[in-house]
Amino acid sequence: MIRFILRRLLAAIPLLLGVSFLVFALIHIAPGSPEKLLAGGRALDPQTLANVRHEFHLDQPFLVQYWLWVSHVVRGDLGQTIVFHDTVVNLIAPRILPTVELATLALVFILTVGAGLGIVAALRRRSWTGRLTSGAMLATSAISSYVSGILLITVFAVALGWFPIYGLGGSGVDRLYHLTLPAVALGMGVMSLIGRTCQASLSQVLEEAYVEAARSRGFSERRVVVRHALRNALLPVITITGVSFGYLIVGAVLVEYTFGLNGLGALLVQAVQDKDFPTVQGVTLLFAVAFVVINLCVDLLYAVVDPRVRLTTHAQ
Amino acid sequence: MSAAAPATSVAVRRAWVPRLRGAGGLAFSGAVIVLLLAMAAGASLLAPHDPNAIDLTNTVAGSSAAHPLGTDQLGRDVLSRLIYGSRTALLGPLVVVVGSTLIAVPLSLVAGYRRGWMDSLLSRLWDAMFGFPTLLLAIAIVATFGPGFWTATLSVTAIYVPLLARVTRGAVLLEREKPYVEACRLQGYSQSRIVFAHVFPNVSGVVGAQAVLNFGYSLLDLAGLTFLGFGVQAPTADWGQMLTDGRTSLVQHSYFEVVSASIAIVVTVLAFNAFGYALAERAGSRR
Amino acid sequence: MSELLLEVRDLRTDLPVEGRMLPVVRGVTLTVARGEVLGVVGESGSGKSVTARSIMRLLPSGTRVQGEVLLGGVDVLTLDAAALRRVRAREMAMIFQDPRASINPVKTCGAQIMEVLRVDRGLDRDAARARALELLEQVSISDPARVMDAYPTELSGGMLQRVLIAIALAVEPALMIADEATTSLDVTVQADILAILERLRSEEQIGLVFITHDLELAAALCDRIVVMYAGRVVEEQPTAALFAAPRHPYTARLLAARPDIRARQERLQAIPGRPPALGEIPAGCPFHPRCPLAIETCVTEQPAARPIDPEGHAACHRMDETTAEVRAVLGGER
Repeated sequence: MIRFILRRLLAAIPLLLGVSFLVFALIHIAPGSPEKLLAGGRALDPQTLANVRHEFHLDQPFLVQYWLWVSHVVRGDLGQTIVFHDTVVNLIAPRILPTVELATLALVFILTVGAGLGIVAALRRRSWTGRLTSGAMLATSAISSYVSGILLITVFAVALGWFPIYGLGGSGVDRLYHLTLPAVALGMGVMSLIGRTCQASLSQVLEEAYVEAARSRGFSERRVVVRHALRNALLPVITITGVSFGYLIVGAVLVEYTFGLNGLGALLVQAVQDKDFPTVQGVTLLFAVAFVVINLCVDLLYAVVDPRVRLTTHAQ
Repeated sequence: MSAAAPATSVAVRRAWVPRLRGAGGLAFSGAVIVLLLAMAAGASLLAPHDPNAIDLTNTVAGSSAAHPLGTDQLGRDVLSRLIYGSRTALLGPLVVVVGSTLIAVPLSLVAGYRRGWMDSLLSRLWDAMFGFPTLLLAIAIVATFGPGFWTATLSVTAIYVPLLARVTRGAVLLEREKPYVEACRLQGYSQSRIVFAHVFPNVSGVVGAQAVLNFGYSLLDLAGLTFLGFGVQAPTADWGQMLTDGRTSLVQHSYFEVVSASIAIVVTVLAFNAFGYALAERAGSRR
Repeated sequence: MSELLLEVRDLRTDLPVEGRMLPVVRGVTLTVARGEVLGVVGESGSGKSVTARSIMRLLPSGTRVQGEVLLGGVDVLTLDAAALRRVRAREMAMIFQDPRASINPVKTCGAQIMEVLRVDRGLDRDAARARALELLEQVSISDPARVMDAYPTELSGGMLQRVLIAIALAVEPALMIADEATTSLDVTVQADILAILERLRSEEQIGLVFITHDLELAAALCDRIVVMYAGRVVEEQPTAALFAAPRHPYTARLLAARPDIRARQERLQAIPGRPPALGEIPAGCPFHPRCPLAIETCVTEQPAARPIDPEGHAACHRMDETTAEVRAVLGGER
């Protein structure tokens, strides 16, 4: 088990390096020289430009620059933002919490409603309840998060006035109130995917021989479904959840912009509009690293829950 | 990336793919696509007004004979903008699909067939790109090169290359093990001949299906980028642009812009998804 | 008659197939006494598995079952859900063909045995663990502690089948049904499993229904054998008598079709034709299209089960004839 974890961690490192390299390289691919970009596209005299060059180590070989950059990042220094006179880290820090809150709420929505609908659809396959829930999941799936965001605002905030249109609100219950529509918008597509995965998986597991064998031992239907079928059926759901995190991150950017939430996504959009490179790099890197780390955790979780994974890879 | 995730031959992303079976599905979704193309091509004939004609005396108007879908906050006719919007809606994804196919497929064909260092290098590159949530990389690229229709389109093209490359590579890896490839080798055919004249036609079904599916997904991504202000710039009519513009109309309780653009996007994506899936089924069943 | 552990009377089971109800078991009657092993032999599609599942009531929803299944005098078919669960938890158990598919892959073997003990028998954790170890020893597992904590992927098919038998034993059943339990195992492992089943029969006096398509296997273990064809019992006799003097042409043909390890044969004596598909069972005697002794009556009338002297039944219009023709076919043991 420990060996498995270590192997997975080791595999993640090159990926992190690759991702960070891409983020770092962007500024060098961009048209115009890096120092001009870092100066924010403003026309500066040669002396200032030379200072910028030196400050950002642009006179060093490429890989050295990369190494220096990484060493700064690892120490928590993401550079200075061009627009404000502040560090990128200071811009990012206060915005992490709103984004995390949004994502967590969305995740709660996804897992409870998605898995719930999926289970109902699988267990009540032949009845109207089952067909309705199945249909509901299909209906919500083709909608991208910004489309669903806008539509939700249209219906529930503007037309019906049940929810606020913009903003994060205060804290506690008010925050929850403000984040409800955004979380639903963010989670809609993934919720549908989880639900359908759950439905397909549970339907299949219920047909398996060991479920029938469990019934033959006189266990109650509830025990058979919950202790035997469901546990096995939820395995693919874990994988899909992991894979969906990418969509959640991207969706967060879109949703925060739609609902005027002051989180990391909104910061990214703002930074792009301002051509604030260090901030763009910082936020992108943060998102990408989070993505890799989350996928790693999902892999590990899957291995804990399904012994076949760690046993067979061990044999390999 | 994740060992636990099974490899599928056609990568279907989260949006629902309507399972319209058989030739009927192909025909129905194909018809919708043709209608959309017609709308885009014949926009100047179909649209009642100039989509960019500003009329500040008649902003955010309701439905009327002259403006069936009302006007937006600059007084422009929503219906006309919707019709003209189909142009960027179809052109962008077209560039993405054609571009990513032209780059990814030949590279993966050769790399997948030969294996070796090229394959390893490319796989690492795709893995690194997959380490990003897709749109994020596009946003980063847009940040680098500045917003605009072409920047957005090309950056989305870049993100679809790894996806298509992986699907192609997977298909090629399967094909190269088949007896007929061995037979070609024994006959002394050159590698390029084997790859392009023999292997390619056999993987083209799966790859083509994936390319069509990517049309719908890239439309969503492009509209999303435009929505954020990174794609098509004002005043060009575009569905994503209409979504973001429409937010101001929303506050004044005019829903036309937002709802019509949403429906347009969803219908188009569904049509392409259904078409792509029907193609994938065809490709699979012919084996 | 309550001496008999299991009495199945005129069991008829119809399965829903593509909108129609197809008769799969068409009037099966059989009995099992305590400590007796009954073999149920037949080709695939003869209805033997569905018969077993009908006894356990493990059938897909929409199935129609008629007749009586008396277990210790109580008709299982009429029990409500709660009573049925109690019967499954206390009195009957089943082992299936593919051990790897019949066991939950994400739980340890020990956990699955203990689950039965704790839920059905109400044992606490320590008592359950001790008893589980005992059960594993009973099925000839030499290292029960290791197997307790092992996951199914770590064990071979033969070991898994033993674990499944142990789980079945945890129920302390009076009746055990083995549905092709050794079919997917190696020959040497088969012998081990048979030995275990034999021991269970003699030590615990468990009544066993042993379903197989392999006559030799049935001969090795069973006291009596029931031969099924197209959903009906065509013959039922004590094993030795069945092999020495079969009274139904199908049985005779089955016996003749076995390759003989001693003699050299030019061709294998297969039975011409195939068993009828589910919806296409011919009228009259279902075997008549393939039967060397078929006469007019066979085409139109279903033969009823007639008693054999001294013990057994067979369902053939011509079973009591003593003509040379009939004797030639029903030759029996070579």
